[in-house]
Amino acid sequence: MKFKILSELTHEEKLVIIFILLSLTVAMFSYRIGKVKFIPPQEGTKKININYPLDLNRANFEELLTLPGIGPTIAQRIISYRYEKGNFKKLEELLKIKGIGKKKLEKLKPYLTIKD
Amino acid sequence: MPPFSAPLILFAISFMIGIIIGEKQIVPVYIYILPIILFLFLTLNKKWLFLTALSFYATFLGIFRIQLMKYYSPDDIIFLQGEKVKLRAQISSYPERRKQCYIFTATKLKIWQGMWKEKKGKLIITTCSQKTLSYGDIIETEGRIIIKKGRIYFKAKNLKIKGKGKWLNPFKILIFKIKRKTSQLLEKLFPSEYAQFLKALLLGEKKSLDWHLKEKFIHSGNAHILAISGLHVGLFYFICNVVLKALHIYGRKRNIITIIIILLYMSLTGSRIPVVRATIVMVFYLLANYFYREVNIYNLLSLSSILILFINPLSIYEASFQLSFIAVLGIVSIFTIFPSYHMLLDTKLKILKHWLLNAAKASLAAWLAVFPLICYYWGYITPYAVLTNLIIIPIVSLIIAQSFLILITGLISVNLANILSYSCYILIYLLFLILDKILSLPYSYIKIANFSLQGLFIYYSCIIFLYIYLLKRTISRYFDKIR
Repeated sequence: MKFKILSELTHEEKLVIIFILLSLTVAMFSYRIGKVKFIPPQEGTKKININYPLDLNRANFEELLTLPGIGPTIAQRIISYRYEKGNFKKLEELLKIKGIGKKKLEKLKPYLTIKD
Repeated sequence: MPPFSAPLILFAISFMIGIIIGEKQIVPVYIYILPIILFLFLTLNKKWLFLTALSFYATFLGIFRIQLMKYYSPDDIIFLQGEKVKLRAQISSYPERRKQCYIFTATKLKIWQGMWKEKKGKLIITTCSQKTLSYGDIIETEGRIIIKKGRIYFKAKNLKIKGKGKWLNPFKILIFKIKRKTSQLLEKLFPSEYAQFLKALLLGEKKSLDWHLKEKFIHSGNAHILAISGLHVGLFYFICNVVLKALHIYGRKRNIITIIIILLYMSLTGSRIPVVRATIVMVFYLLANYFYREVNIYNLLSLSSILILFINPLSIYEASFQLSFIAVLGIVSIFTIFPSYHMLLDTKLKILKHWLLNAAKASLAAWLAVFPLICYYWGYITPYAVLTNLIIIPIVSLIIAQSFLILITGLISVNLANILSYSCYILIYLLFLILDKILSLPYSYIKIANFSLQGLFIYYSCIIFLYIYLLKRTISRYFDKIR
């Protein structure tokens, strides 16, 4: 018995394989667009080196989690807000997000900025 | 002997390695996938380079696939993890009963946040309710969202039914109707313990099974019977073939009809890993027959593992996935290297001896392949399993065949099915009796310390080396005989 792994694949068959793989990859990349990373809460509390103040319009999920009073839910709401309604124009706009009141906003202000 | 050509083995192994690497979050390598495809183009005519690039691609694809699992649309239900919410949803699966409670999946989710907001995703809902739930019902309930092993659960309280949803899947309606009718018929014909057993055996409804009955099967080393797998699909294929033959349907037509029936059976049983594995192998085997092509069992197994893992990469960590594939690999590989004892077979009772010998070989091969994994997960050994399988599998096969017959007659007349059910009744009684006898034997169930991961690794590498050595010896003997 001979051990041959790909011996029976012809040139055309190989091309078909490449075509399938290519379309699979493109499909997976397009699936990824517009999706947000989900991090279970216990993993989200890891220490990350971040320079404050953060840019509210560019901060990712992990960075938002490091802010005082922001858990995964509110961080997610901020990202969803950015995704649905576009960038924040001023920090006060955060009050529109459920779970952020005036007190929390005051706490957050030193850690956040908005860059153009 | 034909050359051993199974290109998908390499792809499947690399894909699995990718999933394991991706789960550990070592490097984000998926960016390199597109360049590899270019490289594949360039190496079309170079066999080994093409192979290497292909296996690299498969690894990166595995990493990419598992990392994709961590990304969700911003309004996915998963982001509400741990929160108490008011939910409105539509039941999208068969609501399975477990004593007073139900378990089912729900889609078209809406969460109350001042107004009903749509959320994406799927929830597995558990609820204890007196109401009769069915596929397509819109429910309103309160509860908490919990994530366990990558699945999102919801413990529902105060469940109310708010009517029926629109745009239901007619295929699902049909399947669930058959399932409900079947379980009603079984409950009507058999006492409760027997009906539970038959429901688990035929429809995969293991959740309603009593724990002490389940324990009987586990402690006697026959738990695999309760998992719908190759045995069931194989028998189903056999029954289909007999019926279609009686109806004078031959050749390619028969293949296509069998494929459709087997796929229906798969969705009827809830599409768990072992049955999906068995169905994919069977369907591709029939398709190969249809196109007059040769099949390689290793190729088919690799293909089914790739498909299952692509749909849910996390199933690689599930015991049912590992046990299902390793048992079949054990049977198809170890089986071939056992000696065949031709001298023994030349005497009287040739067919019976041949059958017994083959069954014993398969049983031993499966046990050798599976027992370290069972020790690793649950920490026990069932030394008589190899022998008891020889008695129990034929009985279970008979029970399955008879209950199919009963169900078909039940469609025509319940009274006739009732008469037929007595023979099945005796067989189940016999099966339970044998299980009790096995359990009363000394050392039928030995609890040991759990295997370590290193132990598993050493055992399986030894088995692989031994397999290659014995295979080479068998082949050289085979050629010596020819000369």
